Amino acid sequence: MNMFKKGDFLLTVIVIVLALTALAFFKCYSSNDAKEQRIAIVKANGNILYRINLDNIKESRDIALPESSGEIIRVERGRIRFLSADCPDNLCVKTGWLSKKGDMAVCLPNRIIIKIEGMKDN
Amino acid sequence: MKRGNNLKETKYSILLALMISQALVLSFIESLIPYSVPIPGVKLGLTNIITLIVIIFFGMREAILVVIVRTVLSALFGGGLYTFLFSITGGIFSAIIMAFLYKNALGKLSITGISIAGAVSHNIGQLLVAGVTIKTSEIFYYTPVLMISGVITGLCIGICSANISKLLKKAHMCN
Repeated sequence: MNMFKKGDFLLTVIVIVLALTALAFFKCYSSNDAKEQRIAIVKANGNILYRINLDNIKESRDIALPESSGEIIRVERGRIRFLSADCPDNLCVKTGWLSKKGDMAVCLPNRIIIKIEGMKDN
Repeated sequence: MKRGNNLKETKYSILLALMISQALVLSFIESLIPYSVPIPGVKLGLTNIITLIVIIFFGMREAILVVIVRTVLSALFGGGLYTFLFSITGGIFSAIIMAFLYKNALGKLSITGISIAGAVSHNIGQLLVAGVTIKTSEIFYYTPVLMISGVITGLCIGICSANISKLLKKAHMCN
């Protein structure tokens, strides 16, 4: 019963193949295009709070999020991050700086998400 | 005969209570482990040891009960409403999957394989609830990472649980 059986191996392989396929799919989708402008989108509870064009930021600034979530976001030219949070695990802060299209930081306890999207220059 | 039945019932509730308290201790220990991966949901899943043991020695109903009591209590000890929602749905989902596999596929899968399936389904269940509650589909970008982390943690937890259940069977603790 303790041994690794054929079925276990099969299950593991299936899960890993599925995961890698999904990963490759997401990677293709989020490939970086140098001509695109990077837009940081801050969502709370599914609603967009801010859309910040990261390539237009001149100096660094901090944004305290409303709704008493205790989150502070720092924006600099070309990058954005959670600076502090009041949730127990602080995973969003540990994620660090986001600068590439497709980058994302999530605070699940406060239901806040920051992600970076690309916008074609025009 | 009645006395024997009472004894059996008492033993049953004491063992289940022990399982719940051990699950609580494990979830506390788990919260002390610092994770370097900044992705919500990447966890060792120590409490899954208890879920598996309860499935092996009691059954699905008891396993779900232990998950519910454990998540409610650890939410009371600290942790917000949403953390509670994610862990209870992930926990129940994986308990159902593991109990089903234990009943129907034990010959083909070992305890380790069942644990891997449980860990992966725990992560996926949690992600689904997270996607619904924060109303953001972007969260599903984490699916591949969470699946692979589920395989790794499920493997470790499965090896632990298989050995523990062997020892418990030898000691005739739970029957």
